[in-house]
Amino acid sequence: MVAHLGDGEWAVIDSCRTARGTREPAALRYLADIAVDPSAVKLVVATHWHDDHIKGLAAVFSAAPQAEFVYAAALDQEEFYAVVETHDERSAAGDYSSGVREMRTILKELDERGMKAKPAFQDMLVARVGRSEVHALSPSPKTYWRAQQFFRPYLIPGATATIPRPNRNDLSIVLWIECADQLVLLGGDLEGIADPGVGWQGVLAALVPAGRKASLFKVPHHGSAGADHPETWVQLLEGDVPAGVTPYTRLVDPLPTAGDRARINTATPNALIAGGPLGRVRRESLVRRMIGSVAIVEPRRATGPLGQIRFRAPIGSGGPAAWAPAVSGPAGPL
Amino acid sequence: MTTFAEDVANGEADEPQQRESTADKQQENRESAPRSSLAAIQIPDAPLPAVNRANGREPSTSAALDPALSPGSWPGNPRAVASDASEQPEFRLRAMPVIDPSRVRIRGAALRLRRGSFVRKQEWVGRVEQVLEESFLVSLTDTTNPNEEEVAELSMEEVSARDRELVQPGAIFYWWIGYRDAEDGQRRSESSLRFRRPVTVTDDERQAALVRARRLRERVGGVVPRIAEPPPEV
Repeated sequence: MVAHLGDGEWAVIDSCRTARGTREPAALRYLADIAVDPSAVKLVVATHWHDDHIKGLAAVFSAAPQAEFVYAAALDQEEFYAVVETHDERSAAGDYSSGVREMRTILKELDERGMKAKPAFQDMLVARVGRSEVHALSPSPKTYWRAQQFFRPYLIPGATATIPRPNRNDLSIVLWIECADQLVLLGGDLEGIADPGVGWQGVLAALVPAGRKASLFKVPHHGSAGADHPETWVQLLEGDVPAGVTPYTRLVDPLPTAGDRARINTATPNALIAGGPLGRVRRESLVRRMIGSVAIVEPRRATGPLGQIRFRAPIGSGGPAAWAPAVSGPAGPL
Repeated sequence: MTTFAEDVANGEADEPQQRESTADKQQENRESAPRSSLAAIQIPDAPLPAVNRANGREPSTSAALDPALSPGSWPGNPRAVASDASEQPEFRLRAMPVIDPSRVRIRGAALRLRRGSFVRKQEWVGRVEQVLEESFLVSLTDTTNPNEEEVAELSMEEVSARDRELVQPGAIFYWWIGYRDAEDGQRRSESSLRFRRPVTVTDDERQAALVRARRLRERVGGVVPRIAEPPPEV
């Protein structure tokens, strides 16, 4: 996600590639397309270290020499750094995902610049950039401690050294951006709606919103039910809020599911999705036959064509109606 | 749910062959070794009896098929030729292994007859994403068609018994589909799943990483506000 925070200053929140098989981060491509120099990026945020959110983020940070780097406080722990520092040993075995590689590259870049990372924590003012204030609504205190316990076993001598998988969406940062009269809620990948003090229950207990509601919403975790707390729509979002959903297709049952689409469309009629339908790969008959005898669910493409959603509103305007949506590629109504 | 596939497609990950463990390479070598005109048998992973130091052969396994090495005929067998034992005092014949015929690999002419040459029509590098009761969900990088990333659900029955314990989230495997033209004229389609053995980090490596981690965090780590004591249930 790329956000203009006013006065020509920008933030990049998470990263993905422009297309299959390319290395170019979509954020840098977009900035180049609208003739914005990457040096205008003042804030680079890794909401969490999941592969689909961090791919290319090191390249973004490298291209933005004036940017601060923000990550979840739950990762600002010795235990996580140790995981990152075993990258060399583990990467030879292919056990690390690109998320660890991206994080390691960014931390080394910070080291070379003599800069410090900025850990984001619930109820924290992360930065003032342009005309905006960027607040974090998660991770919560309870999540912080759980993260420590998640990483710690990896450091115990004699452990089997199974790498902690970055499958903890409860570590994700949720951002609340205030730009003049517009409020934006970026839900990251935060999951969890049942556990008090964790996930969206933790966000709903955060102090920042205090009765104010966002007029633009990035739907968390690809629209999945496990990330959709009904009270979020009531307490934190304006009615009929424009919402953006990013698909996640590297699952046998891609997100959002049909049920997810129906639920979100009930919550708001203004939801858009940034991806298109998936296709199948053409194969020889022998291969098709053998696949059929081996696979319970036959291989299908993990990624479809990528689209783009853009919401623009004049600074100083307010409310959901001020946002003008535009889509490109296969992006469109949810 | 992986970008490992993207890593492979983008050349950011090591080539699969480079990531294979020694055990994998040995397995590969076994399959690709030049065929010998003489048949021989090999028992992978089974405890072999002591090698006959006089001729370097492996008496217990070869003897069964090689007429020149009928049981008890090789020099150094203490059961057959007592004098040999005194001439080879260092030799100790251990208990004969119990041979499971299903684990015996046959090389040479017999192998050609049975297996022919394998032609790969499709190849993936996969990663296990989720393990279910009788199946597992995987992400696949199609190395036959670069840049194709796929997802699938595979049956646990397709995994060999010795690889079954390796089916864990994050495990890397190779999946080939192809055929063999056997010398008997038959063409047989085949599918093969093979899991890469995980490489673990040693305690020394981990300790060294922890030292580096502390130093790096001192330099680039941020300031985390004092966080309340964890709740009792954490």
